[in-house]
Amino acid sequence: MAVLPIPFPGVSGDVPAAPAVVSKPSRPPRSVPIGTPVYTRRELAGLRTLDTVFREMYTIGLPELDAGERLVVGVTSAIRGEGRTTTGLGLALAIARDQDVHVLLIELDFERPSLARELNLPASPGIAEVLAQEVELDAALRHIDACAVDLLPAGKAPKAVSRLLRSAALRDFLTAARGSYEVVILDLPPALTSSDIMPLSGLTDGVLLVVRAGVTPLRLIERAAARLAEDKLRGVVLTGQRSKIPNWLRRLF
Amino acid sequence: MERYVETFFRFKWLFLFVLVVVPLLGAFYAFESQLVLFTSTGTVWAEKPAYLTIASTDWSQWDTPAQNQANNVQEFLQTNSFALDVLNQTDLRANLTTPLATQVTLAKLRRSVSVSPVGTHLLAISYSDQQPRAAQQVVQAIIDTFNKEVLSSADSQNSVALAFYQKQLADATTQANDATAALRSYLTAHPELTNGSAGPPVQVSQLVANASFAAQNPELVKLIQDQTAAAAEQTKFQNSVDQIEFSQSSAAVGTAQSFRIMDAPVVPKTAQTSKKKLLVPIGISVVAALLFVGGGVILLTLLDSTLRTARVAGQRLAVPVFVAVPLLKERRSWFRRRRYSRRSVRTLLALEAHLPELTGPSA
Repeated sequence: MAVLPIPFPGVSGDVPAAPAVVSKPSRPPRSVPIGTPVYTRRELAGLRTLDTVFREMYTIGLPELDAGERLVVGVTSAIRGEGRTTTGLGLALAIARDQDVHVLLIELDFERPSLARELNLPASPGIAEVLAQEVELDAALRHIDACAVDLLPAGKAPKAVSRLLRSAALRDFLTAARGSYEVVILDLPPALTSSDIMPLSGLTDGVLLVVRAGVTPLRLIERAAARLAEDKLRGVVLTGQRSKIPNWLRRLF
Repeated sequence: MERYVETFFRFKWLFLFVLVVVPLLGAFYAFESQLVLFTSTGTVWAEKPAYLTIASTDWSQWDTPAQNQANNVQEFLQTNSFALDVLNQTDLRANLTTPLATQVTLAKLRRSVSVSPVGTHLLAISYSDQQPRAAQQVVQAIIDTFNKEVLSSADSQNSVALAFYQKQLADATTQANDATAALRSYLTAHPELTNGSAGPPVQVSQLVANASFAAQNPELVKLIQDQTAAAAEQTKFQNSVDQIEFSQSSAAVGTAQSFRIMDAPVVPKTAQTSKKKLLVPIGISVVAALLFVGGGVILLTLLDSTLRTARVAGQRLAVPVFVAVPLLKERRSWFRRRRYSRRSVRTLLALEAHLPELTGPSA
């Protein structure tokens, strides 16, 4: 099993001994470089907000977790760019840490995989290679050492994606994963751009539909919900919400 | 309601721009299009004309003299002949070149003249024009022309009445003379009635008092009655003629006294600005801006089919909305606005698992 090559502070690898918390950096970076966790207090506040949000998400949306049931949860959206992968990752991290369970995040969007790229991981091997029996599962998994989350990227896309996604191999793999992990989260392709969403959602215990606030039209959301297998839609996760109404006025609503 | 407020704040800079710029444009237009007007005012002392003692139907006894004369002036101004008479006495006659220009000038005259009583007898006549001299000339011309019109009207009325009553008086005089002559002839023929003297004719009352005498001389009684009636008719017509002649003579002087200038109109030195003309375009522009903003908010809200908040999503979707993930973004400042890239968001998410270690127990 490969360890996620992100040098987390205090966890493993070449990491600084103590995290640096800077209230106001003189020149804030455009993005936070991996391995140099320097945060402003406001960024830390944002992290704490996300922590609360994802905890609330699985508490309300996945109540079976408290009963100790094993779950296969799908995360999809109507179109691309709605925060589907981010939501899946955040959900996996929150569940793993709070519930003290093993979580597997599988990326099944072969058309435009992004999990490995965004986390600076090697794109392959992934689940495509595992299902094709080209590599062992252990070689394809990326492990976040600190919180019992395993990541399985899409890998190299096969020519017949639909055949792979509807294959018995995938079903068997998920059955096996359900035995090894308390929670398996599937990063599904967008519902309106993939014809495989219905059989894929049928493999899950429930699907969370990610909707980007202020971006996705209502009719697309309704069409995406209609494409999912019957009774699989658990609910909607609204991402990127930011109200423009000032706080003093928002209290009135 | 929340959706509409959200829409307003989403486009707040556009709406604020409209709310500020449109009224400013309206104010600019108001100041630029504001005509420089000079107003001249003359005050007049109004009284009831003496000639109206006969023909008083033109005068409302319920209104003050100032109100009566103000109404008369306004009525005269509605006639083209009077208004043209006024304009022809001023520099504005240069505008009366074509029928259309004449109509425009007449309309402007009627629009710009103000005749208003400021007391029981005091009347103010004002006129505003871009030319100060024309303003003074118009007020003066209105007063002069009104006086002339009233005098002319009274004179013609008196002339007709005088001719009528003079003819009536002549007839009545002839009849009275004839009745007197017949009575004298009868008395001369019957000297016993006057005891031989040519004294004054016997009064009817005396004859009536002596019933037996009247019964004996019915012809004399009839002559006396005719003479008395003819004399009364002559007196009546003579009185009418006298009254008309008096009013005719007083009309020439009396009109000037009943409508005399107290403060003559002068050429104004400074222009006056109309607050109303300034405020109307500004008010219209403010209302237009508000309508634009209100309409824009409604239209943009109705056109926006996306879900922006968890509350709205819960209202419009048939499925439950678990949570709303806030947009992770640094607070906006006026000089820089920093967004997290997708990569940094995921890195932060990965690092979130170590938040307690990063921030320490106090964080």
